[in-house]
Amino acid sequence: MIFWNAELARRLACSKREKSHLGSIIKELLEIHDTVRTEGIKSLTDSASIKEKPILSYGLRLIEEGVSGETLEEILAIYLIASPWSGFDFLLQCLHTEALLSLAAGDSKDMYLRKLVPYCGVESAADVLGALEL
Amino acid sequence: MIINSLCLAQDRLPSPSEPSGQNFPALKPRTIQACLELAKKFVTTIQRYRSEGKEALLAATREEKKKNLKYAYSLVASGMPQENVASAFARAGFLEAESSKDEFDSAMLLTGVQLALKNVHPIAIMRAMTAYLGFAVYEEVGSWLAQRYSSPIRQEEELLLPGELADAVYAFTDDPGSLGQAIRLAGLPLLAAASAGCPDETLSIIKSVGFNSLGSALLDDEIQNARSRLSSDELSDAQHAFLTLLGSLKELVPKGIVEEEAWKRSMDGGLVSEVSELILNLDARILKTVISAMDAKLVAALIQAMEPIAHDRLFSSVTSNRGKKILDALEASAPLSSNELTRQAQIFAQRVLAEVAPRSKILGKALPIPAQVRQLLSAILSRE
Repeated sequence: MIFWNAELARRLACSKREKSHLGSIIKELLEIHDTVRTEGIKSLTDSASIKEKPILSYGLRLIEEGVSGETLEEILAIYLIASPWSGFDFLLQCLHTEALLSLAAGDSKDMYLRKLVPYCGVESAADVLGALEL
Repeated sequence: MIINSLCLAQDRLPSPSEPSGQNFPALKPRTIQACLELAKKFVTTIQRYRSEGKEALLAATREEKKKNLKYAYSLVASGMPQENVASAFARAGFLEAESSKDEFDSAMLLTGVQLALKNVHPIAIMRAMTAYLGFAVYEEVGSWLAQRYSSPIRQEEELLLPGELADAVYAFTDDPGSLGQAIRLAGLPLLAAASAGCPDETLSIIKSVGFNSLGSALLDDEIQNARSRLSSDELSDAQHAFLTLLGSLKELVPKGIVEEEAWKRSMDGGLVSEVSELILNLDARILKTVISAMDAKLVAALIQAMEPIAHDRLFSSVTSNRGKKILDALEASAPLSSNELTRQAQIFAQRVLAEVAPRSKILGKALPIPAQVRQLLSAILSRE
């Protein structure tokens, strides 16, 4: 079951054009999955491109601190809700958080992709999945 | 999905200051520091509760002047189900605070109490409580936690349990991705239990792949916890489970190790226990005579159906030369099936009987051996 509330929906709202960028962002996130799978999480924490992505950067450090599962999800949800992000920026951070939780859970690449694609919206999820299918 | 957790987290925070729901009340630096101090105080008390017991928590509850903090301690002490904490806070009126500072305090304490009741480690509780204050305090919180936890907690001697996990982990040193994957899939409780019986070197490899200094301290703490809470058998089971997980991820674990673990799991525990007990309880002279007269290969086969503690007694009953021959035979032997082990144990039991039986048979008279040994011989010989 997916919970829903109007405040959250308002905060996540963004244009179709903005959402169209998500496909390429998911592609980048798949590369991160590959790096974690081959070199481990520690190889990412010092990477400059990760440091530009706040929730990913801090989230990876939390995983290295031994935080996992429900507790990790709860902490990241608090950061997101208490943050000033809204619109596409907020959606992007939610997508990064979903990726992080999937990495922390040790999900396969296929499962990881299937958890990220729904953020593209019902209309384009199937197309993005088709384009990125492993 | 994170969306669900967002909905739950949103219910705890002060109402947005704008109808768009985009901005929560900004906190002044002084307020942030005050909230931070509250979190530090709560987490310090929870740490004392973990290490010193409930009395420390009850004492903190008695001494605390701040109402919401006092209430938070009392909820942790009550051990109530964590899903009831929010309604307990609401009933006590702490969710209808007068200022945003009070609202943040309540949200932080509510989170802290829920996690403490779930027995989450204080490092993670501190991270969760201070997440309300944003990333701006992340480093400051990290420094505070490092001061309290990064010094080596692990001061006791290493506990070594027999098993192949150490070799398997070593085999993964050039594949941090797979080892890291296994660490995350296992989760902290299993990893801590599995690592509790490993050499320090193995633990260092695990830490270097999956944890920073704070994470390493947390793992050490959980290992100590596992050692005090779990039996050797449970720790050994955790090692097997983690080894199986590693084996499922990559063929890097030497095939022999995986096969040996599978063989150990297929062993007849009852037979192993009976043979071990028999070796431990036999009269030293009888044991020495029987083992000395047996072929080294047969003794090696028998050792496969024995617990390590019985190995020591068996080897102490023979000369060093004889012991070396048995060890050589053991190294050359292949793992035997459960049926073959039963057969070897029965041959040994028959030899023991032959040794204790009087040369001239007197009908109706019991053998001159302790009742426990007689029962063990009978149990082994009656196996099919």
